[in-house]
Amino acid sequence: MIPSINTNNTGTLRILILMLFSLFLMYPASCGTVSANPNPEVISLQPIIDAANNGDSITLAPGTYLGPVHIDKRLTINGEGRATLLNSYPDAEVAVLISADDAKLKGLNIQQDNGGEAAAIRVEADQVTLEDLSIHTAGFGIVLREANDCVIANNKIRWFTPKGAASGTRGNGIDLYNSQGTNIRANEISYLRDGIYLENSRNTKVDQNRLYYLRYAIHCMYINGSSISNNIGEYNITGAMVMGVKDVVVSGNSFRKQSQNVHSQGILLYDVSTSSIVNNLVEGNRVGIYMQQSSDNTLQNNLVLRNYIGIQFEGAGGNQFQRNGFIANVIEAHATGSKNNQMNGNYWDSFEGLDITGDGISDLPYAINPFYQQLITKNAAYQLFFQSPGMTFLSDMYTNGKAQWSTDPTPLMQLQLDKATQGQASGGQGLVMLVGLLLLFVSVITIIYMGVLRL
Amino acid sequence: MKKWFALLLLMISVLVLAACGGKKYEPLAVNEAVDTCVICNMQVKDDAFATQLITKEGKNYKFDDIGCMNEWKKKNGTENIGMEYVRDYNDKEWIEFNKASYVYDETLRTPMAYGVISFKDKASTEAFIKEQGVGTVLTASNLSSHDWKQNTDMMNMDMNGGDSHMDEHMSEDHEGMNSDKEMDKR
Repeated sequence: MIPSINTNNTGTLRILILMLFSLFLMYPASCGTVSANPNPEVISLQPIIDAANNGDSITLAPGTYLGPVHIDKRLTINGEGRATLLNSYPDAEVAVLISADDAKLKGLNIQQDNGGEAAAIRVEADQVTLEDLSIHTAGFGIVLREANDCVIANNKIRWFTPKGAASGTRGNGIDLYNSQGTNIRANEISYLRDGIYLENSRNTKVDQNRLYYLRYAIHCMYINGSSISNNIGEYNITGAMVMGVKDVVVSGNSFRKQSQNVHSQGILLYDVSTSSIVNNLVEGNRVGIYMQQSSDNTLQNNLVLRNYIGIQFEGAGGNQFQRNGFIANVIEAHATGSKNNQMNGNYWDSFEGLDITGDGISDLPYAINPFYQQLITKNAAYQLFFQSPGMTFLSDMYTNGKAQWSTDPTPLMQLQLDKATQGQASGGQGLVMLVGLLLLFVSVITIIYMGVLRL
Repeated sequence: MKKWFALLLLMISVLVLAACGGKKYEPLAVNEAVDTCVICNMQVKDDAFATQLITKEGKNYKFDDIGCMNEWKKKNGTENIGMEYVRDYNDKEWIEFNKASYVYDETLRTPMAYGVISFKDKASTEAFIKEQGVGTVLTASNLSSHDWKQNTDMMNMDMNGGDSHMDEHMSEDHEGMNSDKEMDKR
């Protein structure tokens, strides 16, 4: 046995050596760009910036550069996607600090090894543009402080744990404080704490961002007059956390699959007034839309699919709530302490309506029974009795103050899905039908031919 | 006789133990994965801003900001509260609400922007104010007359003083630059 292993070993060794040799032969040919920089030589970026004049445009040659840098002139720095800036110097909390108005940073890869409060980019100037950046950070991504009218577009921001370091606390992807009129567009942010955190920053536009695996995808506090539109969030604890705002537009967003945490929500509205929440899709979340202490808002044409609780109102009054669709939620709606809401023309799929007049509107009203909600707020353990016969019976018995319940007097019999959501709702039905028929056919054959024999 | 004695001993010890476990309101540790603020629904971070109260029924409510706890008291009243706890800003130790000392300034950043921070003693309060250059000292009884205004508008704040709280990492030259900018604006 032993000699045979020996020969085997020499055989594999020979092959290995051959492979290694061929690798060496191939190396210069295949890695042309790397060979220009054989020992990853690191160039310090700061002298390049210091040497430039106001208004210059710098295109960085491909390679690795060393941070930290301070951009204090009106420069355009373009890395064309192949320049990487490293910041592993532990004392430097900010990899790129921008303090000059109209500075532009494009196509740069930035790696920030410092965690905690450390940011990859910190902007303290107005009209700064950050585009096509790829940021890996152990702390925060892009931080704006007293920086107005900036543009943050097409960036990729991710969190990572530096090699050999314990994973620290995750920072926010894009973090604005006291910065007005910023345009945040088409960024992709994942694995951080809050994807986009806005505080005291008015007239901010958050559009078409993709946000995954975060705590709160979009977290806004005190940002009157801002708009959050067409964003996609998945696998976060909460999609949009909108707090303490007026005149905000939340439209066309899609927040899905947020059910991992016991407090997961699609959209949470707390202390929100005179805002409009329209055309959003919330699907597969623990709570679809959670509205608290909010008044005089418009909620229209939202599609609430497959959530545990579709919509939950708490102390929300005076809101317009129309033409929303509720499909396949375990509990469609909860409402406590929410009066004077204009609720009409919504579609509730579990509701057994009756349309005598044939106008597509049910002649029976849809009322949200607050009994279960009140019970579990007092003692959360009563959730064990969810849908138990006793609970259903008691809920049906409970009619106390029915006039004050949140009620939809004109629920729709059929939901007219708009084009955007139609594909999602009906897609793949043909295939399911076919597979179902096939299964039925197979089972019938089995029963006919085998079922009797087995007896 | 011996049996009776043993039984008596057991009864006494049970009684004593029950007395020990009487009305005592212990603070619970913050679990960031599941704890959310009862008022604003935000995650309660295990930081110096977290507060909690325990009702006489033994129910525990956690808050991400002392301002939210105040909201709860406004809504539910204070008669039913067994104990309220806040944290020391420096070492995050739980301290009783009434024994703590507080600093308020509108430029201090807290999770819900109420701008009130708690300390275990007056000395550390004063040290904090000295370090920050802003803030007024409040006691627990002062807080009941405090207006609890959330700072939602930082437009006219003084940049030099206020920003330093969250941005301790700013190096010397940044701060110098910051004040330069301030000079330019004037």
